[in-house]
Amino acid sequence: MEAFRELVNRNPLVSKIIKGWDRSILIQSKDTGEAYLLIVGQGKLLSVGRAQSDAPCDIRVRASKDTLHRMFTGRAKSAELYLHGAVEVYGSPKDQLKLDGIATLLWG
Amino acid sequence: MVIGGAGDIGQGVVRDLFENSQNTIIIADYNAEKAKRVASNYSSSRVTSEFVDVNDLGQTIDLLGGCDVVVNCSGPFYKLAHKVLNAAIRVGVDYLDVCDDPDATERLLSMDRMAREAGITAVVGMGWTPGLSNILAKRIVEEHPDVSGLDIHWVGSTADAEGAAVVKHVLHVIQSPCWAYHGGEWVEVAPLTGHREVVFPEPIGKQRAYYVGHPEPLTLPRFLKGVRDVDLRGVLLPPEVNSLGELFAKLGFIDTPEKIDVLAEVLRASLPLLSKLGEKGAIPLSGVRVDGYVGEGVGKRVVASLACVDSMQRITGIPASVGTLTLLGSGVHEGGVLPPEGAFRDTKRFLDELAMRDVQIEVMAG
Repeated sequence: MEAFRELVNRNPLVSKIIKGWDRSILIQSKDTGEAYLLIVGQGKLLSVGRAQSDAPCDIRVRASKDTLHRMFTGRAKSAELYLHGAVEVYGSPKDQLKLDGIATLLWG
Repeated sequence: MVIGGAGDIGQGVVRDLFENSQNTIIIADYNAEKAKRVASNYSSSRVTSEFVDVNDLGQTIDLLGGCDVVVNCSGPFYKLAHKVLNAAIRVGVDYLDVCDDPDATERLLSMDRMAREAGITAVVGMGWTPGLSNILAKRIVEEHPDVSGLDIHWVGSTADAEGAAVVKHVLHVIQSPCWAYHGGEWVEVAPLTGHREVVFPEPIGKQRAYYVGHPEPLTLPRFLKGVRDVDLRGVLLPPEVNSLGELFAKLGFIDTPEKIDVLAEVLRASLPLLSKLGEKGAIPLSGVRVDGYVGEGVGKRVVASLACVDSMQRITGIPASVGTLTLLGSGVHEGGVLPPEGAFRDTKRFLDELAMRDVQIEVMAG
């Protein structure tokens, strides 16, 4: 996840998308129960850290550990995973579109 | 007071006003629950909320009493803008809006004498386009007094839009009379014609833009002397959405405000889906590009080109907030109803204020 943080913060185009978009995003593994909290603010991915699976957040993303790994390393397209039900996203439609946009800019 | 302050754009205005001033802000909205929720997010006595129905003149007047300025973000503007300005004139409160409909702009400008008699200043169209586009156009003409023509282009992403008002605006302007300014005269052009490839800052890049009805060609020639040509083209992303709009117009689905209301509700719910049309879908960013040129025809030469890409909420809300704070600070040619290029004296300072908020203006290659 730390590599993902660096990848996001190195990309000036992603920075354009997340400018003014201050959100907390909880990433949950459905099979292992692991959870990570991503904090976005000041046009950056400010922090990534382990969290409780019920930690308060603006957006919640749930999938199996393997799916999450493939998604965050760019080996699988998040939009396709979402459409096939492999990833569940709970948040406003606009927030979901932001996540789609970030994934598109990072991995095409 | 920010009317429509709980909406997508209104929230952008409120946020910037809160972060960059010590003013007390009232979020007034028809959706009182949402207004209360948005206000509570600030946990500050400086931000409160009120219910407003701008169709109720008496209630709007009562609410505006005691305010220093009203910022109107309540669309669609072709239906509502004149009602809020009318209330502001009656109370004697300065006014600013983000109106982007050309017919509504004409109607607001026609209230100039009433505004002058009431002793108020009303700045109309101070968002992204019009708004930032007008400031960029004025800046270009100030720096290049020989500029004779302006090409204005905007790009709006369906992945970057939220409210029904923006959908209604788009449906309205692709079937309404559309104006350009050619050779010192206003001429009507057909919406969604006159396509041109335009390069916006990355990640948007090259897009095909079309004539759409917007206020800039109507207002810029009145205030920027020497400018004899103004064209405005816009494009929605993903590009497939433009074809959909053209189809709705051909089918007669959007030729009355009532039909637009019905279709807009359907489309609003479909925005996430529409944003995924085509090969790549849409990035949640919008933008504007203004080119100033000299000459005409084959002798046409672009001498300056300024552009900006950011989220729709920021690129609209922040210029509106900067305009509001400038209005409060008397950095405005006072009195009457004015578009941004007529209202704001100091475009450099305006752009500096945007830069301080990380709204980046890029100089494009001609």
